[in-house]
Amino acid sequence: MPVQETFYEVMRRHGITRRSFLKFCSLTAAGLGLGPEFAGKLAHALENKPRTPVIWLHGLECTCCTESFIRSGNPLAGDVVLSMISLDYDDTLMAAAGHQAEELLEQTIEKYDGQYILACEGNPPLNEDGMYCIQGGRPYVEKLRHMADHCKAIIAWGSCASWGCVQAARPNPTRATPIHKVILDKPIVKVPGCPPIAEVMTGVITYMIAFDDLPELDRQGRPKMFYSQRLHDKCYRRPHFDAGQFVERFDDEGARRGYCLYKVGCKGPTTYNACSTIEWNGGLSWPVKSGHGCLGCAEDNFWDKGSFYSAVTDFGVLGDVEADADRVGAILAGAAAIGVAAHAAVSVASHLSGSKQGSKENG
Amino acid sequence: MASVAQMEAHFRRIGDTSMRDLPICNPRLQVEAVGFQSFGPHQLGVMITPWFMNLVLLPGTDAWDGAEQGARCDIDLPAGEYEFTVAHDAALGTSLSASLFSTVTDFPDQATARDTATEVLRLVREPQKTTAPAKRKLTRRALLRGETAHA
Repeated sequence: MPVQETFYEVMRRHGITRRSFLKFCSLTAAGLGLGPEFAGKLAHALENKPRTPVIWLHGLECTCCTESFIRSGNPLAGDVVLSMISLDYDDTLMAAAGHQAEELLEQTIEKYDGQYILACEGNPPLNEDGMYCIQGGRPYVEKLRHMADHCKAIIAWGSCASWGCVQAARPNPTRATPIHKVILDKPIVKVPGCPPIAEVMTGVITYMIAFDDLPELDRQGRPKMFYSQRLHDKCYRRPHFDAGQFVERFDDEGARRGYCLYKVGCKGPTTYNACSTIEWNGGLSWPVKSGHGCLGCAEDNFWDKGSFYSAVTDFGVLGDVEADADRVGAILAGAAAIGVAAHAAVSVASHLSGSKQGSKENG
Repeated sequence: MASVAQMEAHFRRIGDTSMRDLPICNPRLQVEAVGFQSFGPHQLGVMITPWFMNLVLLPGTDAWDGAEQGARCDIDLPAGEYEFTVAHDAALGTSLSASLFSTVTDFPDQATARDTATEVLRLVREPQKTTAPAKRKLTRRALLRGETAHA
């Protein structure tokens, strides 16, 4: 079975050179915010571990997560990541169909009980006993529960799986429900965003299969390495915000000058994601760079928070000292000073509200 | 180069005009420059305003005058390398800032904000411990110049 091969063997079989493989390891380590010494650990893990089977389920969703994932700008991601995970079941990408495809699920459970990763894109609707999403003749929620029973860990891809997203918008007629409210007994990594950034997705999955562990998560279950900063913290338009220079209307003089988009609805000040640092399409651009405010698509309930074009007025939800502690650590951190910054985070947090544990980031 | 007092006055003016009454401002806070001290030819400290708290470096040289607005640059502080964003302002000239809190709506009062700023400054001015992860990569250029890698 291919799953007995190591990642490295599979990659070599796919014609990927050792040089490319090592380059991938160092880029991924850097992308994960890990030091250069982790590139070697990553390479070692990938060379020696058998491939981890991944089952990729789709509930109510639009497949933008898959679209993002397979278009990762990280060199080789298409080849490397898809080669190194044994994607035994993904109805967008697999060749199998019908009964043959559904049998793969049972075969995976038989062979790899408790060992596979369940990647969930989209969420299950619970109303009418789940009939709003039927797959292979049964409600998706049953399939999800069945596969979750036997998995090692779950990745909740995107805002659908993490929070509910637009199909859960009021009044949520199908009762679309995020994964963590349906599966209560498995570790879940939330990777929100609509879709999540490709490099974030490949980074998270690479970390999980290489180190056989979950990345460090924040209180909401998101990997700290990618979700500990608000877009506003590292936005290239930030100097204009600080100086009180705003776009008042699209296409006004401020818009032409690249001023801050807060007044025309940018949700950057309340959104935790890596868009302003990693950017999109291989670092080409991101929404704010294209002149439009952030919609806050990685945040819970962004779909029901009113107009995308109204300025954020409610900052009450941000009274989250842990988040602040994480954030200060990450923001303070330069390329190499994460440990020190984490120390600052803890100290700052303790000033704010007694003694809260802050980020002990990935030094 | 703008002085710290000029910068305070600059942000007070902004607070009284374009930022006035915006919901992103914390009315319990005031504009205050905290702990500015010389850092080489530059001035380094924390700027508190009702709409942000930043670590700010006021350059004493023209090193960043040509940098693009919003460009990022790494600055070596005693505690390590920190990423700053370059800002050019007609009144203030060039300054560099690293966001500590980009909304400051959580601060209950000025004293807490000031204590936090002071604590951050103490930490970034503290020399790096020997176990720190910062390892400078030996570049090809450095190697050809006969330099060695150092922490």
